[in-house]
Amino acid sequence: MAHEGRLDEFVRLFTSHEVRLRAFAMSLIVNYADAEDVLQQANLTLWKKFDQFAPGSDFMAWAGRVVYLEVQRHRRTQAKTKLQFGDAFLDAVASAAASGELMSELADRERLLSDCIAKLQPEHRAMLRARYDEGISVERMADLFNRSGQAVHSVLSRIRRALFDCVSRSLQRRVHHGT
Amino acid sequence: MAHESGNQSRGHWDTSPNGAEAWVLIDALLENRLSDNDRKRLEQLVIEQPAIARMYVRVVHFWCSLPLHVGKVQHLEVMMDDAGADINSNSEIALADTMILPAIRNASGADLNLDAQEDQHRSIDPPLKFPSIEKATPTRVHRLLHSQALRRGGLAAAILITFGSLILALWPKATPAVLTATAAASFDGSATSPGAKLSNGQAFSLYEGAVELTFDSGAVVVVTAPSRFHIVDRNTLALDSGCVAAHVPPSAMGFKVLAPSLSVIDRGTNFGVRTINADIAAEVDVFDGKVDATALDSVGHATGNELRVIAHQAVCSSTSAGSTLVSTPYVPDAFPRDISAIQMSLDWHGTGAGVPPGSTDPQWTLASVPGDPDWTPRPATVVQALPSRYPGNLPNGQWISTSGTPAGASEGDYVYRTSVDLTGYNPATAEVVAQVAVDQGIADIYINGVHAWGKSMLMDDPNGPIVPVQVTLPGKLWHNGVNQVEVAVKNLPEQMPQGNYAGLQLIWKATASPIVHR
Repeated sequence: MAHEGRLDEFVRLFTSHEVRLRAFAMSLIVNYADAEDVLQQANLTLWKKFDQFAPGSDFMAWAGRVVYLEVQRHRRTQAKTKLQFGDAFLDAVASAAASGELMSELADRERLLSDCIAKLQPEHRAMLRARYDEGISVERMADLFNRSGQAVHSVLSRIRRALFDCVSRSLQRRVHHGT
Repeated sequence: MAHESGNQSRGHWDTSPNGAEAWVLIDALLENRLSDNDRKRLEQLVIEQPAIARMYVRVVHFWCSLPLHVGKVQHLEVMMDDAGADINSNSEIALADTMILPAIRNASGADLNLDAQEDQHRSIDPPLKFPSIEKATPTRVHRLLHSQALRRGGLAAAILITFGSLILALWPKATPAVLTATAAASFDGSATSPGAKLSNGQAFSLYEGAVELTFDSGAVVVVTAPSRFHIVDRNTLALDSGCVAAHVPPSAMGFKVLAPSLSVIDRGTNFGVRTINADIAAEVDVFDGKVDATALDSVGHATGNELRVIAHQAVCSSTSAGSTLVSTPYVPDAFPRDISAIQMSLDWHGTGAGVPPGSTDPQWTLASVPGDPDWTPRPATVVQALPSRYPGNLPNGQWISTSGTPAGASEGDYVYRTSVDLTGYNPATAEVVAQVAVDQGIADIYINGVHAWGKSMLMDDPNGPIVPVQVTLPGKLWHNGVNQVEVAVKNLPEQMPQGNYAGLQLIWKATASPIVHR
């Protein structure tokens, strides 16, 4: 039972932090497939070492260090084949991500994003869904939405920024209202 | 150095030139549209300005969050549409009003005004090796694995999926599923041939036929059309609509099917899942063993505890009842389990189907008539004015005869001929019943020139109402490809004042098993 309880706790912590861990890996490695590989390996390591995690302490900080080490290991294996950001860049990003305040903010952002997506105009929401839910290529979207490929890129970019702004504004309102 | 003001400390958009430039660069990076020079510029900004580094973390996190939340909103929209809610509220974000980006300069001095770029490509250096989203398939993996599997299935599902991930990490290059067989299958998606390796997140719409998928875990799933589904991972399938039957060997215990408002986890069994109620709910029928079923709400959260369902039981989710699980009749025959034994309906052309009265039906030929050895076969004609004793025309079968207003047909046999296609089907499995109405009798029926009916038949009362009869045609006479069918209609001397038609009305009820390609 103790083992099962420990497993439950690990699953709960990992799943509640997974988007941020993935984003952290992605921000360091800048390749989604590689970031997924790193996260899977980190997942395995985290479970193996979960006994070392002190209950009640900062899981994100602990798991983030494991992800960072996995990224470093991954970079060594890929160094000769892929163009990568330099170590100074990694240090800067890791330093930023080490902020507990920023991680807390990201968790808030996750909670606010759906509301902002719901506020999009239907056509823009449809485009977002086509691209990020259905995985339709920009070229195919150009046909579907009767626009040029570059126009689709442009609109998607503006949608992303509108959403990012919406989340930021919502976050600010929550801060101001103390919610 | 750029720094975040009080207002920006929680990530409000940085309107400084560097902040706007950084946004464009980061966004381009994540969309695989960044040149090498721009990459260096971004690297410089992140290294030199902690505020930009934090913004970079925020934007990457935002980008990674998108697939999950787009899927969430989609589920919400379905529910809101059902409830008649207006999803086009006044709270929409209008890009045209809010998103006029300033023209800024990148490191190479080129304008990055996005509005002006809509129809012209940027000239960029070869991009970084950064997969486009469809190649990396983060959307499906992310949305389905986490939005549906983890969030819908609750903790137990999360444990399974997480362990799936742990195991998968040992074989990162494994193919999650293979298309092992197809049967008269017509579907979109990139893989259509047996042996095709399917990817995590790969989506399919199966329009016709059936396919068999073998998951890396060992689970074998038969999907029948029409269905829409996705591969989630080596032991999970997401069924958006349609019907699947799963055979789960012990090695794959824990195999999971995610369906609208229902999650099913195998506990050592064979089971079927199909969507119901316009694909907003789903049903699971357990053939052997047991499964754990969980009802889900509109955003994929479990709405109650797992329910153990054992052999010969069935439950369904009910969104109208708040996504609870309710018992439902066990109907195992609704789930084809053996792809080689699936009987599919054959869309064979009944007499005059879809042809206006008075026009000829090119698919039914009047091959011979009595007393005219020089008769040249010609298309039969759909009768315009039916005698009162004829049963009425049907959409899939109308009366045909020598002309649109036939009269004075001679005594003897009129032979009507058509062709039916069994290409792609196993002819030995053909089960064919013809519903036939004739004026005034069936002399014989031939399949590929061979006598196929054991008796001739006349209507009981040649002047009375004509009653259709069901004629079962033997399967052994059918062969691969196109088959010829002839119906000899026996016509008696004219007895009715409205004329003598020698007409035929035939409707097919035909099924056969498609040839399975492995």
